[in-house]
Amino acid sequence: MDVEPPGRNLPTADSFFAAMWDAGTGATRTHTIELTGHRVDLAFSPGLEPLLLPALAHLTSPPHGDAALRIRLWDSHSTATPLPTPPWNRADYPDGGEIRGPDTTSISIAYRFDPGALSILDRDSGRAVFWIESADSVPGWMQAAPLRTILPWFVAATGGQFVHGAGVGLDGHGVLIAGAGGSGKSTTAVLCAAAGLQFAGDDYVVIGADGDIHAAYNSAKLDDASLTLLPHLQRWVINDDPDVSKHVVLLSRALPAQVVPRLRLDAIVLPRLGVAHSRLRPASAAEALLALAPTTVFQLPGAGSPALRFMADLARRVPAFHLDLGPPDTVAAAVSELLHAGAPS
Amino acid sequence: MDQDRILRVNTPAVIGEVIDGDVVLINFDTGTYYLLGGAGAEIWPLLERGATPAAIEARLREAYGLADGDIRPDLDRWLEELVTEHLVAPGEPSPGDPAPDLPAATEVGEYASPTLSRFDDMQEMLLLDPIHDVAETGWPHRPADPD
Repeated sequence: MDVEPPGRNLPTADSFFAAMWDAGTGATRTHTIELTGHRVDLAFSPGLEPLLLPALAHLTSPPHGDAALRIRLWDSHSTATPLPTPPWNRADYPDGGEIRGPDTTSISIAYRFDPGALSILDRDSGRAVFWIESADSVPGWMQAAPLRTILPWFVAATGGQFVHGAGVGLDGHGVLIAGAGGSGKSTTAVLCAAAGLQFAGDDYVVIGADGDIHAAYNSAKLDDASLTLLPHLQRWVINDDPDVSKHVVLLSRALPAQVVPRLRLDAIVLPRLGVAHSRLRPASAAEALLALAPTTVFQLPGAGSPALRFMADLARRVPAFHLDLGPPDTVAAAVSELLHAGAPS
Repeated sequence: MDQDRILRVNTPAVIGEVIDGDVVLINFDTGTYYLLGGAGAEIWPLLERGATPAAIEARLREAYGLADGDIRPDLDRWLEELVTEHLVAPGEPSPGDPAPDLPAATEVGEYASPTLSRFDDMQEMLLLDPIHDVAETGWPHRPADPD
């Protein structure tokens, strides 16, 4: 890595935010969404709107009241605007992942190296900026979960928590499906939605301050095997991410009647692949926390002790079950059975 | 293990929660997470406040009513494992350290050796693409497309 030239004056977090906000005036395509009851105004640059809005489109609502958060999402390519000078030195770049800061009590900043995307939130002014070089830089996982840094920061400030999990339900009562990649989480969620259950998210959902599951994204990420089980979803694949071999499907288009904004959380379900028949077994609170917390905190910038405590409280409060996944046509019935049984509330 | 050298949790890299008789730990430096079982759930809160192995042994004997039986080799082996995993580190006591508390013996139940289960499946999330170059603007270049 190059040596920093002497004498460069770094912008403060405040001045960097102001520069990023002002540079985003090319974000002119405006939409309003409602997230956990809070109005969030989005302004997209022309290049990013078609890629980053669809996974949030089920949350769009007519503007009412004051916006709790205003976000400008812009790219340099379609707005012909370069990035302002960063608020850190060259030597501050670590070997991988992302660079954080300089955070203040009001401002959080994260730069993710791959694909090169900047997220900055100013809590005091209720504004945020997302930047990426061009629409061509947007990977499939980002289309599936846009604003995966800014929205979790915002939700945490409202007393909620983004979690790595799926949400499905019946008559407004839902389960949170937790587990790392490869556990069968996405397959379970989409099999349930395809069988007529309600769907509040596949990869990430929000647990609100009210304890309910709130939808964030209407996307699902399916591997080849899962898509083979549900061939009618193939036509709704919006992008393939070659790095992780996941197909992104928008359920708001594929199964619109199933997508709901909110479910009451009745149980946590921990799927596990490979038995003869789908069946449920009680799981301990520690097992639920092990399935939910590490995969959440390693994926969300700034998720530390408060996030772990939030999820521990959740695991103590909500009953958990292992779901041994049998043949695909038995999975939704097992989840429905749990919801019909009425987990303790 | 030095019985009088205080052990402390390796914060802020290591965070943990005691939950229903177990402890879930996450190490942000290594991308590894852990489940502590047995008496681990009683010992971890002591380490969060800073405690010597001698003090931990005394507290365990008191809490579990262990007048007889040598738990020290068992405890030392487990604490060494925590040190090896960089979950705790030896340090010096601070004057303001409060005396660690344990629940009353009647709430603790029968003594079971502390256990540690380690999980590595999240480490790949920390091994993302390295930065190869930083431009004059101060922003990183993406590695050149091979074609």
